[in-house]
Amino acid sequence: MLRHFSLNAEALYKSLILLGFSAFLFLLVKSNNIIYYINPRFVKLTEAAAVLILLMFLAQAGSSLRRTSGAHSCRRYGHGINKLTFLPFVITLLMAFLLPNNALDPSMADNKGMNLGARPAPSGRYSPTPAVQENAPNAQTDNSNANNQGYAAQAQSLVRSKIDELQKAGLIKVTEDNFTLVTNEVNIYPEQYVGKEITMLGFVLKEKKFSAEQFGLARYVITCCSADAMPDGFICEYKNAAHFKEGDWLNIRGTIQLGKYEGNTVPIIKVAAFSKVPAPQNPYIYPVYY
Amino acid sequence: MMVINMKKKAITLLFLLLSAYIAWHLLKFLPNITWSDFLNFKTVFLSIIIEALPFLLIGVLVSALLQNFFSEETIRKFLPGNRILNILLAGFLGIVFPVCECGIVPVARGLVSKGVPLYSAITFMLAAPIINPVVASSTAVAFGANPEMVWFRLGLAFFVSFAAGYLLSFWFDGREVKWGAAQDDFGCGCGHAHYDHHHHLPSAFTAKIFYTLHSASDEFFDMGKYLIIGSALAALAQTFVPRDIILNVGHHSLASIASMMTFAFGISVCSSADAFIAASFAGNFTAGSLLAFMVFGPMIDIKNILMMLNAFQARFVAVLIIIVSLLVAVSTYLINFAAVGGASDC
Repeated sequence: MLRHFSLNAEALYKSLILLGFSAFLFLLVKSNNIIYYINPRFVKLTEAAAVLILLMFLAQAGSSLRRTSGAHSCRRYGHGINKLTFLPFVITLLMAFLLPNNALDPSMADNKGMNLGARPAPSGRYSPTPAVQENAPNAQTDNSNANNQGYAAQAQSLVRSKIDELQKAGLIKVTEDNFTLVTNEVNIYPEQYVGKEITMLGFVLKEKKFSAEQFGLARYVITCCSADAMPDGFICEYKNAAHFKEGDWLNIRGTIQLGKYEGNTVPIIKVAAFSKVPAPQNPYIYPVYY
Repeated sequence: MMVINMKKKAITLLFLLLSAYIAWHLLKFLPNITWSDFLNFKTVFLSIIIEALPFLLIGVLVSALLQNFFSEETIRKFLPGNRILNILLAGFLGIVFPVCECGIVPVARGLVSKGVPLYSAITFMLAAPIINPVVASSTAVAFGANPEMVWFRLGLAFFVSFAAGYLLSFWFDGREVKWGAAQDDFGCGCGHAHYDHHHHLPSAFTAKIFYTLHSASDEFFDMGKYLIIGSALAALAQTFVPRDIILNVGHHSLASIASMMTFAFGISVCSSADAFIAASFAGNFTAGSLLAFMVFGPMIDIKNILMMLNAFQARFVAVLIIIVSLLVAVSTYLINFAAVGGASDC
């Protein structure tokens, strides 16, 4: 029986490519290297995509073994397979499997430009309330609930209480969980945090407009995927800042002071102590927005 | 057949020339591309693809389901006969049917193949990536300081997609669609397929599922290559073009709008993330230009255009781009002029 079947080359190429994509997505999720590419709250979608591609692979593989007589004979002439069409897929798969998985290098922050200018304060509000947001590195949230009134109010009061905590604390510890909360709050209302001590981990950024004693300490904030990565953080001052190379990871401890950057009043951290550390396992910050 | 092949070859050639030209410029400006630059490019490139894949799959699956499970009569029953009502409905369809811009082109083509007027399908294609709950709430969070930006964004998106669809309804009649893999049964490409539909299919449900998966995967290859090429171009732009080249115009009204539209076209980020990027420019850019970024980007960007060129005739796509660009530029300029909106008081 088997000799009545012949391989359909086009469907065979397609099924191999689909298998490749499905395997790539599965491996990426399994090894957790997916966090270098997208915000973990989308991982479920990626898994669903991998399953769907696998089903599509089965459908294609089935028809690659299809009997070539009958209704499909037209495929053999009329138009040949254009192998060039598969080139983009093959190149993508080669890059995916052959190159190492790595997080964005800090060198790209130069192109993106750090978010250091003075940030606009919310207008028409009686009390300082930043954009309602907070981070949770691995939280899976449901976007569809974001509009829910009661939920929003609850989140609002949660953020409120976190900000109260910040204002009372003598020492602000910047962690992955409160990163964007702190950078937003302190950059919008620097005068309220003058004199407070702060500890933070981040990579060194140098900008042309910085003085010799200044450097930026930042991390990439990823909303959806690393294509929308924005470096976020603070300007720091240290007398031997020239020794820091761009991209060095530092753990710093310092005090918040007011300074000027491009004519705007911005918070500047006077660094008292620092230690060089290796890049963290997961270098990105994933904000979860309520 | 020959003519179509020539056209395809010409487009590929044009495209290769364009990429070579861009690459040449990049090499001239940046003589030292390091290994880490290349790895960054790879990370951004793959991340756009990984992020967009589920949405492209939803798009091709919906298109294939339309093809295999719905008849033209069923769909026609739901459509209002009146042209304006028809376009209005298309503009609001995104609320119940949120599709991101990565997957919308195959859906639009599938709708046309099922008898939906081309102008309504285009209005849906332009509106759905913006006028939906996910994008509205992410914009609201990003512009927590200026909540009115959400309404401006949604309103403007609706206006642009409605006006574009209405204008197109006078100039094009629906013959500008190029049928793709999902519309040809099984992707034979023999030309007979969409005349006698399902000529070799049993009507069993499982068989329908199989054919749906099959035509979805054919359309996945059809559209996916453009998604990949578009993502590569966007990743190139992100990795090698410093943002201040286009973005040092800030407060000048018209220039800021033009540069923000160029920026949106080039970076091709997802419509649920772009509000955060726009918000980070709030201090330095006019409100109109931020709106232009958030309305133009989801409607027209690199990867989108390539997929549109695959689904519609080049002339049609060119007219569509010109109409949308003009509508966005003029209306956001008027918004700047009237100085409504949030960013002006920042």
